[in-house]
Amino acid sequence: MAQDTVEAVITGKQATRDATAASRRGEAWAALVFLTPWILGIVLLTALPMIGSFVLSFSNYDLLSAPRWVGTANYERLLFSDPRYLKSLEVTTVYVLVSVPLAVAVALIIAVTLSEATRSANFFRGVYYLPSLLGGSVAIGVLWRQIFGSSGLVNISLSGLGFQTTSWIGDPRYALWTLIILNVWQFGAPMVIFLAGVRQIPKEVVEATIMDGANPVQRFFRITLPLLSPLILFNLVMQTITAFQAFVPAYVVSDGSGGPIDSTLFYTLYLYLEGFRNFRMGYAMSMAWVLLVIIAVFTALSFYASRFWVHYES
Amino acid sequence: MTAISLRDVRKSYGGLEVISDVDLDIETGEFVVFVGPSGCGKSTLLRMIAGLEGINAGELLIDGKFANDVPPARRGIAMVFQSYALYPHMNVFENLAFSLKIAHVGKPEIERRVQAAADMLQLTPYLKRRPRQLSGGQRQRVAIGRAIVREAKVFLFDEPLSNLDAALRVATRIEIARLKERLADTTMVYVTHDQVEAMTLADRIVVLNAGRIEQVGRPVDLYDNPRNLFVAGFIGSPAMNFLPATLTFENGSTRIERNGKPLVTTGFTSGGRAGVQNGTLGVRPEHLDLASPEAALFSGTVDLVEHLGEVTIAYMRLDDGTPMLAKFDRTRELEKGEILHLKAEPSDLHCFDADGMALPRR
Repeated sequence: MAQDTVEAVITGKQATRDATAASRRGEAWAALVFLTPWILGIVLLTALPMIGSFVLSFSNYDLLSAPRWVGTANYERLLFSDPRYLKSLEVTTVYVLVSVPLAVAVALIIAVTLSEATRSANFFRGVYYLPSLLGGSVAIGVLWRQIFGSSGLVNISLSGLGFQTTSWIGDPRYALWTLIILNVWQFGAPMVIFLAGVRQIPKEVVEATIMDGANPVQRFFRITLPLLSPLILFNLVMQTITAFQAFVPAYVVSDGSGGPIDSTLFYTLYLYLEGFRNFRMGYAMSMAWVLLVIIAVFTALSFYASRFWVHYES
Repeated sequence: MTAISLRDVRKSYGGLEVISDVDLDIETGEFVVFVGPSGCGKSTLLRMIAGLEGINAGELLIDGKFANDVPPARRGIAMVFQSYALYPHMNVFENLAFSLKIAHVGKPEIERRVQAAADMLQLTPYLKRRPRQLSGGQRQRVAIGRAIVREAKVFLFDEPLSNLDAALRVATRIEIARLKERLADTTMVYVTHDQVEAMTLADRIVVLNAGRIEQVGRPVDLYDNPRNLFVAGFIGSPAMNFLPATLTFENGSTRIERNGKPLVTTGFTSGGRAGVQNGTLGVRPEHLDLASPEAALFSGTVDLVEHLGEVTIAYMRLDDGTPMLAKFDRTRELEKGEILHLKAEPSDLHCFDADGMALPRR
């Protein structure tokens, strides 16, 4: 009797194990079916083109004839004998280093100001987010030309006030700065993230600082800023990556030339001109790969530096 | 000397009045506990004293000075929050030193005060740790330490133990009681909904209900002489039994009848009342004892028995259907369905008029 019971238990356990294994196999198939479109997408639309572009970056390729292997010649030319490339790198670096911290700082200040849940704050949150919805579009590029052009809104205002006017987008000293202003103006996305972060700061912690005698400025620098530091890092990294890839504003404002005198020749604009105007695809691809490395190094440095100023809750 | 005075203080949000006509004097060095059910306004009242909530009407005096508009940091008050409210990016030392740095206190003085607070609260080994590396009890001690270093005259505690587990709550409660002994001149105002905390810590308890003070008094006074039905039901665990009774006021005394039978409960005066009222008789479960059927005040059937080791609680239903709890010392072998006859000392009975106000004794 006891033996029968033991056998029944063993048989039962075996049956349970079989059923579990079968159900796991079923789940694995279901997972594969659901994942297939995305796996295919990554392989066909991302991985293969990336590998292809990496290989082609070692070639001369004009889209019309077959690629010709040139070894590291494209990379050598980039780094050592193309002053226009170095100019584009300089323009883009200035653009990133000035506009990204400014945009993040403006986003942070506006978010902290608008963090109170009043009706007017809700309205202004919407208003301030609007430029981010429009910012990357061609229409805003065109609008920027109208605002900063020689007979644009800025000049009309300045001449009305008796100041001397200039063509802001036509003057190589100022053209890049109009694009920096455009990027700073699009602070909506980081602002929304900061707003969420400010709301996460416990009310009692803020009240504790009030009881401890901290004024609003001390509260901002000693409590709000450190507690938002993970989001500041996130926004800096995301904005940096986006800014390195900025293309549309420079293309529209400079009529696709990067002018005047290459003063708005963004990295991606020069890449586009080399690839699609001059049909030097191999060279353009080598530029793309160097940009990837630059962005990766910037991001890695940001994360390395973050250990000295970013506070994580857990 | 009076540390804090509240005079006809009111607070409302929109049309909703959450604090109504609160009048209270808190003496220097006193430990006062605000107690009441959720939403009674006890935390709001504490926050009004702290300055974190505005006062719509009435006066708040701190050390005799009008303080309605004084900023929180200038009131000489420190607050310990329910969630500790420690600064997560600062270590324990920095948390303790924060208010002193803001006040530009010199470095040696900051170190002296932080060290003294850390010694008092056994926090010295943890000074370099961040709050997330501390246990709940240690965090609460840091929160208390923050109040100590400020050398505030008044400490406000907003349900400081409610985030701790049961064992730690008892331990921290004892620590707070010891702290009070050491800081004898510091006035402490403490909010809780836990009446055990209130009874054990308080010099005086303020019972609040729906934004009003129901009674202020020493814990034992509230237990022995509750002013009304609310206080009688709120103070004491398990709660006092309430039984409907007919009260007849004659010649300055009160005659009590239940189900048409008179109760021998001499000692209640009419307090100026006259005529007949439907009132309430109150008796605490721990004041009931078994009696012979002839000597019994109440008889009823046992519905449920709880054996808690040191006490046994019987949930009963009286002959007229009124529920009643009786608490007996040690273990009593009681069974469901058993009929119990109970008595109580006349001095342990409470009587409330139709408005729920306690009748005075002779």
